[in-house]
Amino acid sequence: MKTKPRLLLPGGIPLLGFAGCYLAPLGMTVYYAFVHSAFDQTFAGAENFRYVAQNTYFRLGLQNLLGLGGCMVGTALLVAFLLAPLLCRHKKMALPGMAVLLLPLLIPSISAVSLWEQVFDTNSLLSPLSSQLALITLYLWKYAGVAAVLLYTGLNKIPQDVLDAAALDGAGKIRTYVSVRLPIAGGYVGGMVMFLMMFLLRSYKECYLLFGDYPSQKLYMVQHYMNHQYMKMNFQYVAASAVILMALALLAYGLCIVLVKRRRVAAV
Amino acid sequence: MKEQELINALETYMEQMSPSRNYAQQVLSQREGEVPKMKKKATFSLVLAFVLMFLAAATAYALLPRKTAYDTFGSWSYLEGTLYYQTPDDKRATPILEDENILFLSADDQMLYYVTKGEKGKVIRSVMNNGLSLYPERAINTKYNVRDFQMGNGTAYILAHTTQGNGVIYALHPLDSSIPDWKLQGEGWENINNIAFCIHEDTLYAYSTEDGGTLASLSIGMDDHCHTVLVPGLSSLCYGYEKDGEDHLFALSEGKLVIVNTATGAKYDTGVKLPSGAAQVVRNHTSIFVNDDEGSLLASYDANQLSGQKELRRLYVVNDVNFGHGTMADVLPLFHEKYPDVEVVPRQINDSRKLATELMAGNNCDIYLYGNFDLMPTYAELLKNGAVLDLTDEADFAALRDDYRDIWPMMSSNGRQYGWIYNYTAHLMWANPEIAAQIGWEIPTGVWTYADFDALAEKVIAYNKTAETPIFLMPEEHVHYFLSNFDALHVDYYQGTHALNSDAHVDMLRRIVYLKNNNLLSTEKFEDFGKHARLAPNTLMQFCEVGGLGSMGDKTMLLPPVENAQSPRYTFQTQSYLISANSPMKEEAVYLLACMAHPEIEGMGYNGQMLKDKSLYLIRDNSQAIALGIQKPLSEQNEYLLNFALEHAVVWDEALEVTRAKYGYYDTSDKPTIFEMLLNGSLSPEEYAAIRTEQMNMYLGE
Repeated sequence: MKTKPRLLLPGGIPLLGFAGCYLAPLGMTVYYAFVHSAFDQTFAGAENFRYVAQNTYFRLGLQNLLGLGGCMVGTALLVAFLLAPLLCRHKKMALPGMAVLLLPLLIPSISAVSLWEQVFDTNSLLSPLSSQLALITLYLWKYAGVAAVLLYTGLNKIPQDVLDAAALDGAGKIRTYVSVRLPIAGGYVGGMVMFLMMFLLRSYKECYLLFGDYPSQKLYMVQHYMNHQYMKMNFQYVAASAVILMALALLAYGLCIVLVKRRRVAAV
Repeated sequence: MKEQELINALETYMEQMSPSRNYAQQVLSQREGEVPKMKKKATFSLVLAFVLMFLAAATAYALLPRKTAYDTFGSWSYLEGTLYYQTPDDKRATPILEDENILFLSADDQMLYYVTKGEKGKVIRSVMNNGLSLYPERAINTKYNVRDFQMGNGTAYILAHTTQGNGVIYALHPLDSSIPDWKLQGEGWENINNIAFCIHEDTLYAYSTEDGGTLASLSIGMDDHCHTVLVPGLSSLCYGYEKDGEDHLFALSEGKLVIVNTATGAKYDTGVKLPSGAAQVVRNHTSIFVNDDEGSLLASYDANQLSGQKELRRLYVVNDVNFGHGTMADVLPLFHEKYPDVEVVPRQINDSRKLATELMAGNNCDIYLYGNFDLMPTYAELLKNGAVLDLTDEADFAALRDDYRDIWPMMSSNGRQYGWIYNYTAHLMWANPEIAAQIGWEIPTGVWTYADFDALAEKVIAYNKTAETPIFLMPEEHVHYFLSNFDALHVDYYQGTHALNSDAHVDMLRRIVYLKNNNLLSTEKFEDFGKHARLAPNTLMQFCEVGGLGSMGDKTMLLPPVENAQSPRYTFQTQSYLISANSPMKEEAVYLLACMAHPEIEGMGYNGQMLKDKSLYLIRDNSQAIALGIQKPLSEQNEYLLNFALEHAVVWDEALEVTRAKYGYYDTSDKPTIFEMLLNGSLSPEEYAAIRTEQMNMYLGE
C-alpha cells in the first residue's frame, strides 16, 4: 500500500526530530569513540575500546550493574508480582492504591535521600552492606510500585471467562496466576522489565546523592566510571563505554527476540 | 454506565414509539452533541483565560521598573527590593540580597557598590556577586543631594546638588568616611552644573550645561589634566572606543544615539532609532544599553557595530578575576600592539561540569584561570590528557626564564609547563613566641623535620603534666595540612601512583592520633583568615595560608616540618592560567599569557615576588593594614622564609576530598566524617589509610 503523499510531511517531522535528537548524537558518540580525545581528534582505531574493556573499574562497574542491578530488578519484579494481583482483587481500592504506588516517583530524589540517610548507615566505605541495602530499598520504594501498576493494567485486561475456565479445570489461585495470568500478560511483564532496567540506570542519581563520587567498590557502577571520565575530560572513554553498553543492550534485546520467536513457533 | 443505559433505553423507546428511527437518532445525536460541545467550549475558554492571565502577568513583570549595572562578567539588576546578578551563562538571575531602598548601583569588577538609605542617611554599601559583603558601609554626608553615583578605579564618584551649587562631582573613598571627600578639579574646567558623567580607566568624562554644553575629559590618575570641548545637547554618556588615539563616547542627544569625539567635540549620529522614554545610556564589554528614567532597559545594541569598527576576533578568558583592573588593564595595550584585531573577552563559568563541557567542545574558552575546582582533574591530568597546551617549548616563555626565579616547578608537571601561575597560597606556620618561651622551645629559623616535631610534642606533654594551664600544640582543625603535604609529595597524578598504603602514611596518621590522644590539639574556635586573623588561644603554633609577602608582617612565622631535611618541600596551592588545547587562537593566547608574565607588568604583586629583581617587588607591605594598626612591616626573616619555601615548593592538587570525605554528596546528617572518626578513635590509622588507598586506587585506576 502506497503511503499517501499528504501523510509524508506530518510523518517526516517526527522522523527529523528523531534524527536530530537521537541519531545525530548517537553518531557523534560513535565518532568520539574512535578518536584519541576531544582535544586530539585523530583516528585511534579500537584503542579506546581496548582501554575501557581492559580497565579494572569499568569491569567492576559492569559487574556491579549486572549483579547489584540484577538483584534490584529481580526484587522489584517480585514485589510487583505480589502487589499487582492485590490491586486486581480489591478493585474499589485499585485507584487509590495506584496513586499510592506511583507517588514515590513524584517525590524528588534529594528528599528521599535525606530520609534514607537518617534511616540507614550510608557510609559506603565503612558499611558497604548497609549501603547496598539502602540503595536496594530506595529503588524498590521508588520504582516497584510503577512496575506493579503496569502489571495490574495487563492483568486487568484478561477476560474473566479464561480465568473461569482455569478454575473449572481445577487450577488454584496461585496456579492460575503463575500459569495462566502471567503468560497472557507476558507483553506487560516484558514492558515492566524494560522499565525497571531503565530505572536501574537512573538509580545512579540516588547512588551519587547517597554515597558521593567515589563510593565503596561494592557500589561502584558503570555510570560512576563514565561520569568520572567525563569530568576528567576523557570523552573518548565515555563514548567507548556508551558504545560497549549499547552493543550489550542490543545483544540482550536480540536474544530476547530470538527466544520469543522460538516460543511462538513452538506454541503454534 | 447509567447514562449509557438511559440512552439505550431511550433509543429503544423512541424506536417503539416513533415509526421513524431517523427522528430518534436525530434527537439522541443532538443531545449527545450538546453536552460534549459545551464541555469543550468551557474547557477551551478556561485554558485561554489562564494563558492570557499568564501572558499579562509576564508582561507586567517585564515592565516593572528595575535598575541595572554591568560589570566585566555579567549584570546586576535591582527589582522590587531585591538585587540580582546574572552572567550570560546563567539560565536565570541569582538573588543576592534584599534592600528596599537602593538608589544607585555601580559595579567594579565582581563587587557591586550601591547607594541606599541607612539608619542616619544615605550610605554606600558593597556586595560581591556571591553575596559576600567584605566591607562595612560608608556614610555619605547629608549635605549631598546625590543625583548620580559611579565607581571608577576603586573610588566612588557622585554627582550631587549642594548648597554651594548644582551638578558638582565629588570623589569619595568608598569605605572610609574619615578620608575627606574632594571636589574634582581640572585645569580650565568649572566643576558645576554637570548633568552626566562616566568613567573609563583613568579618565572621567563629565558633561555640563556651561557655555551651552561642555564635555570635560578629566584625568583621575596622578595628575588633574583636563581637556574640554564644546558639545551641545547631550544628556547621558558612556564610554565608546578609542580610535587613532582619540577617545569616543556614546551619548544621548535630543532623542538620538550619537558618538562624540572627546578630543574635537565632533558629534556623529549612529542612525539608531531610539525607543521613546530613552534617558540613560550605559554599557558593558560588548553592548550598549538604553534605559529609561527608572533605569529599566529599553533597547540594546552591539557596541562594535555602532562604532563602525571591523568585527574583531575574540579571545575568551574564563574566570579571570583581575580582568577589569590590575594586570589586564596593563596587559591589553601590550597585547594589542601585536594583535590589534583581537578582542579579549571575559567570561565566568562557575560550574565545573559546564567548564569541562565547554573545554571539550572548544566553545569560547581559550584561556581559563584554574585551581581547585571540585570534581575537575588535576593540573597533571590536564597536561597528560592533552587538554591544555604544553608551554614548555614556547619561545615567549623561554624568554622570561632569565627574569624569574626558579618557580617553574610550580606550574609544571613531569617537567612540562602547563600554564602560567596567577597566585599561590603557601602553607607556612605561625608560632606564639610567648608560649614558646614559656616551654623553653627555640623556634626554628630554617628547616626542621618531623623528628623535631615529635620531640616538641613530647616537650609539651611533659610541660602540661606540671603546668597550671596546659597548652596546646596546634589547632585540631589544622592537622589536615600534614596530610595535604603528604599527598603533595606522594601522589603523582601524572604517573598514576601514590603511597597512601605506605608505612610513612600510616605513621603520619598515627602522629595525628597521638597528638589528639595527648590533648595537644585545641578545639576552640578562632579567626584564622583575613585581616582579623589571630593566633589560636593558648596554642603554640598553627598553620597559616600565606598569599604573598604582604600578609606576613612581623608575625613569628616558621617553615612547617618536613620529612627530609636534605630535600625539603613545602606545600603550595596555586591558581594558574591554562590555555585550552581546543583553542582556535593558540598563538594569540600564548602571547597574551606571556604579556601577563612580562616583568614590566606591575598589576600582580605576585609577579614582583617571583622576579629576580627585588626592586620590582610589589605589595611587600600591606599599607592599609599597617595604617589601621593591624599589621607591622614585613620582617627580613619572614621574607627569607617565604622565598625559601617558594624555591622548594611542591604543588598540592586537591583531586579528592578524602580527608574531608562526607557520607553523601549533600551532607544533611550530623554523622562524623571519616577524618573525624580517625580523631575520635572510631577508625584506626590503618583502616583510614585503607579507605584512602581504595579511593585513590579507584581515582588513578580509571
